[in-house]
Amino acid sequence: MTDAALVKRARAGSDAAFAQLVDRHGQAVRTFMRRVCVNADEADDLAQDAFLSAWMSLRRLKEPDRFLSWLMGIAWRKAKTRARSAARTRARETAWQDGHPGSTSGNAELALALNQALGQLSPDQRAAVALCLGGGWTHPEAATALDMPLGTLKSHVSRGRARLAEILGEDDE
Amino acid sequence: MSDPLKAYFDAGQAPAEDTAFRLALMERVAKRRFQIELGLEIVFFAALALCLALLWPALNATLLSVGGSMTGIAAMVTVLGAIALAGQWAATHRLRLPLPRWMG
Repeated sequence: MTDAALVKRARAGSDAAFAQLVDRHGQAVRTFMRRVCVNADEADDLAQDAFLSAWMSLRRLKEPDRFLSWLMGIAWRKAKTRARSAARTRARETAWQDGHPGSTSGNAELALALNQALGQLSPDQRAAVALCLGGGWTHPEAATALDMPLGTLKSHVSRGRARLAEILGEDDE
Repeated sequence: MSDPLKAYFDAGQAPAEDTAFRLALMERVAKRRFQIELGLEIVFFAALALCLALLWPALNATLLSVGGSMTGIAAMVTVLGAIALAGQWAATHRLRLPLPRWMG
């Protein structure tokens, strides 16, 4: 069943249809949140908030077949709001660097360096990198989801890629 | 994308299936639905009670003036019946959430 069909059923009051949307897109939203937030627990909390907001405002979704993009936009706005309050305490940033899931896998030193590199990017850059480099989204798709001009998004991705390539000791593409 | 970078992003992926996440989320959805429905029902019944309170003096006066006239009694029964039916409908029909666009 397509997203649009599930949205239609969820709008009519079907929790089962909404649960299917959660199953289908939960991983993408949670992964995105994990890449832009301070830690996995907070990321999951934000992902739940995003789904709940989406459920509340399902009738405002104009293009049901673009549910994921719309949902990512909601999640991103929630993450930005949370980040603004988190920015008041530097301890949060330390927690992000310590608690990011990538820090415990594979090459720990490299992962830590990449964590730190991502942590140094602005929230907008981090989100752009997370979607385009981490999630494989196209630039126009990501620009729509993040509500950014396409040029700005490309710039964020380019800078993010350069920073990460620098950490990895590679030439930027 | 280079392999270390791909490995890094792959390592940070959330699980594809997570029943606990879905259950926790759907529980929050159910809780929110209950809160909204309860709020709407409280508003609805408060409005119904207000209508009755406002109409009651007029209905009472009508009843007294028409005495035993069948037309007056029929009119009163109709009005009170309509109000009772509206109350019964609201009490027995679940609201269809998510909310309509104008309320969202």
